[in-house]
Amino acid sequence: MRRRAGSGIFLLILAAWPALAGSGEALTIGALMAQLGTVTESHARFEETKTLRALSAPVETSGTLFYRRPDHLEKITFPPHSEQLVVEGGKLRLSLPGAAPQEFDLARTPPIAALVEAIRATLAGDLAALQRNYSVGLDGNAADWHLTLVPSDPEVARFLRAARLSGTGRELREVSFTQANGDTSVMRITPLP
Amino acid sequence: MRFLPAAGRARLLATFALAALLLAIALGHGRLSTDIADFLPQGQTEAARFMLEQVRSGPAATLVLLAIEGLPPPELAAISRAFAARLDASGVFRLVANGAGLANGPEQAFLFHNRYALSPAVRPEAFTEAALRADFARLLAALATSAAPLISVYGLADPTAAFPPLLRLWAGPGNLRVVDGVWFARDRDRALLIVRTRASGVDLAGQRQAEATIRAAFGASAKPGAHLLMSGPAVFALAAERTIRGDAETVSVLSALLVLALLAWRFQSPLALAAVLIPVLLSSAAAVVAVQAAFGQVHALTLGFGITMLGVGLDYPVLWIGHRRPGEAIAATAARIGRTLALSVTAAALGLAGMLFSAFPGLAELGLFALVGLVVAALATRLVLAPLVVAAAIAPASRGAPAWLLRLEGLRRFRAWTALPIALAALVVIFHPPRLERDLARLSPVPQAALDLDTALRGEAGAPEVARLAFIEAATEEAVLVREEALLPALDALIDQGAMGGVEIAARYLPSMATQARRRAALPPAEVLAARIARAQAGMPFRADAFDRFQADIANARAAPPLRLADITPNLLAARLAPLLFAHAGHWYGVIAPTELAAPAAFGAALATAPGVRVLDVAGEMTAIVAAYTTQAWRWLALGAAMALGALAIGLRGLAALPRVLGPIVAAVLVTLAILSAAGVHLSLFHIVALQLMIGVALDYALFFARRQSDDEERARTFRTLILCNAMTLLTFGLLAFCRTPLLQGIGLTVAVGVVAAMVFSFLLAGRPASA
Repeated sequence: MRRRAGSGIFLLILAAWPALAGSGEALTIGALMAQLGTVTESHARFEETKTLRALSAPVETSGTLFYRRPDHLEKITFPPHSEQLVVEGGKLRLSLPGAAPQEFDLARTPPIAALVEAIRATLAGDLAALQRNYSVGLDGNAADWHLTLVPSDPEVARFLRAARLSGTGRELREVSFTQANGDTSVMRITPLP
Repeated sequence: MRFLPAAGRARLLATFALAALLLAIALGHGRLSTDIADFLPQGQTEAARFMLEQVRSGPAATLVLLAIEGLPPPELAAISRAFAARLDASGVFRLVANGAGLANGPEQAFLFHNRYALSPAVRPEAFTEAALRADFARLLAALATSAAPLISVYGLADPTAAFPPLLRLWAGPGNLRVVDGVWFARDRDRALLIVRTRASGVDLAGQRQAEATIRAAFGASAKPGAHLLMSGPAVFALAAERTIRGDAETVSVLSALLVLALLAWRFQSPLALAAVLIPVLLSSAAAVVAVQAAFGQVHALTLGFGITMLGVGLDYPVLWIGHRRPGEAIAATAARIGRTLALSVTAAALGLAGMLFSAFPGLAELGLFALVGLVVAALATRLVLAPLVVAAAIAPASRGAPAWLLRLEGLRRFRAWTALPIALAALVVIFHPPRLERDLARLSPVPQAALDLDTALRGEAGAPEVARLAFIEAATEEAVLVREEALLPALDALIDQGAMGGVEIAARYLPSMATQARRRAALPPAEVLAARIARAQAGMPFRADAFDRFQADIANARAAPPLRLADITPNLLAARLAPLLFAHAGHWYGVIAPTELAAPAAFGAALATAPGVRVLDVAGEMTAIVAAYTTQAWRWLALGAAMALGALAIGLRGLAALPRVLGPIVAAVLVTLAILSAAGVHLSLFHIVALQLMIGVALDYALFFARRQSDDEERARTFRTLILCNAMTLLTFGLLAFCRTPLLQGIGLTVAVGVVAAMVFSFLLAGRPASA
């Protein structure tokens, strides 16, 4: 146990080194993913703005995010739009107030799976999982990186035009989705200790 | 005209070659059938016949259930996907479904497009202003959730939620678990696939190709550790065919070799061997031709059984040659045994004649084969063989009356003791009679393990059972659907009561035109809908055009013609409906197939009173038919026995001699039945056939032992010859008892036990001591 924790810290420092050392240098996707992959757990607050073509006003929501390696992701939305969304492995559980929790198989709903994987695979530093769903582009540097994800599955592409994830170092700071019908959502993320 | 032995031998061999050629020609021209269905009874009514035919050869018979197990679920799911893709690409299958298709294929687009015609959720009250307002509020809330991407695409176009129930309805049986988008059994890690072959269920060549395709596709898709399970009517048919063919081949080859070896040992002359075979070859050829002429085909089961007839048919030439004294003319031999032989054949043939009138195709075929075989074998012995053996000078070497025979005959002192086993057997038969087999399935060569696997897979996949279903017959597609719709409440009640897990019925998927028209009428006209939408969304932050797609879809649905069966084109949907709704000979049929049927009686009762609905209990129907045929067969057996008795009374010149002949036969039948009963064998129709055959053989023994025999030498000839006959029958029927086909096995066991008993009792009871 102790040994493992020790080597974990060592790896962590090693992985974080480029981010700590040089902020101006060009970043490779492999290095970014390796760096993200060192995070075992993260807590954050989020604020999300959905701009939907059907609605005259944007929908604002806020809440918390929680991620634990390798595949657990939780999104809790505060009232008035209370919602609890938990993804674990291939299952997605959505709890809305006044209704029984619903469970979905991600594999049966490729568009939702793609949205989940954009965030989860990024947090996990799992480049292979990202590339299964998207063609992945990277710009910026370690201190200010931007991933652009374009769906490779035509069925997903009918829903989602692109996703953009931005961050600094090992932290994800913003996720935005642009849907095929023009709807957009932008989620700003503030890490919590 | 006298022949030198050399010329006689040549003539004998030429006749043998000719007889063999005749049999080869008869077999070559016969259509050999290995489909067990050809052998089974047809339904009692026209409709039942048709539906049994459908069950055997219709779409239901093309269903193959596949399961993959042995690895963790994600790996099984990956194999399932690759496997399904290969099967689909092969073109051998009409349908390949493993769960992955419906979620995102053209099926989903079709269902969404036609939701207002097909969905049960389309009702006038769904389109009131109040209902729309509630829907909009729900949508607004949903748009704030993480499901927004889906809601904004599907939800806004379908605010009244007509699509979700439709998708649930079609998405597959609820008892499947889905892992990585692939169907799994609920309770175990077993990936499931449902495929339908293009080849019909009775097209065994096509089914064989399908099976080979499945195995090849699996081999190419699987990883080490994964293994494939297959089940379905066609899989059974193939397995049965292989078993029957294997049995027929093994038994005929093996018994032929053994009998030949025995004959070669007994007569010490290949020439005698050829002579004995002549009547057998001729009688087999005649039997094949007769069956072919009468039934248009010869079933492999008949042939397998018929080949063993060789053993019985061999008796006549063996009896003839065995009793011939060296150098004797035909007339002399005939004077001693001709009458007994004729009587034996006549009585046996009359006993079998009843079977000819059986309505059971298999029985009638067997009866004809046996009858023709016996009569022709006897005629050929007397007319063809007799002159040949004289010409070739074939006869057993005379060995006098050995001492052992006299000692053996001394055993007849104790004949009174035979009353003991006979009485015991009678008691067993009276108080513990053998059970009658009514379940036709037990005659099937498909092993119980395979049947259990089928039940398990059907339950897991939610595939309908083929054992019990109901059907509706009507003039049009529409009439069938209207009647089915009237049944839906009763069926739903059965599901709620737990009488069955679900039901496959076309009207659930394809509403009648009347229902579709009602649904169309529930859709408001464009301007009415627009006004209601405008009022309903007042105060909500929806844009004015938010529900444009909804309105356009409603307008299209109002203008669209009703959907008919032919309009349901996407592959998975069409394949789902094909076995449930189809036309045949100008009539339309709807099949109502329960899944996981727990209370068959409740299902039958609920539908029995509905007009135009017939409940078909496939197993029950078969059982009833078999029961009727069994009763009929016993009647024919009794009639045959009476005729045989009459022939014996005339042939033996009076009733006084009857007990001597009948005693051993009755004793043998009683002991056989008692032994079968003690062995727990259930008597089927085919055991009755076997009993008839056994009685025919026993007649030979009893009649020949009961003959007034001139001297010790003649008695020795009779004893040796009958022992030889008995051994031949055992070598053929005894082998039959080791078959895997229950039917052949039953016949084999009955005859084997019966002829040994008949030999013992005939020797002890029918035989006479040497008379002056």
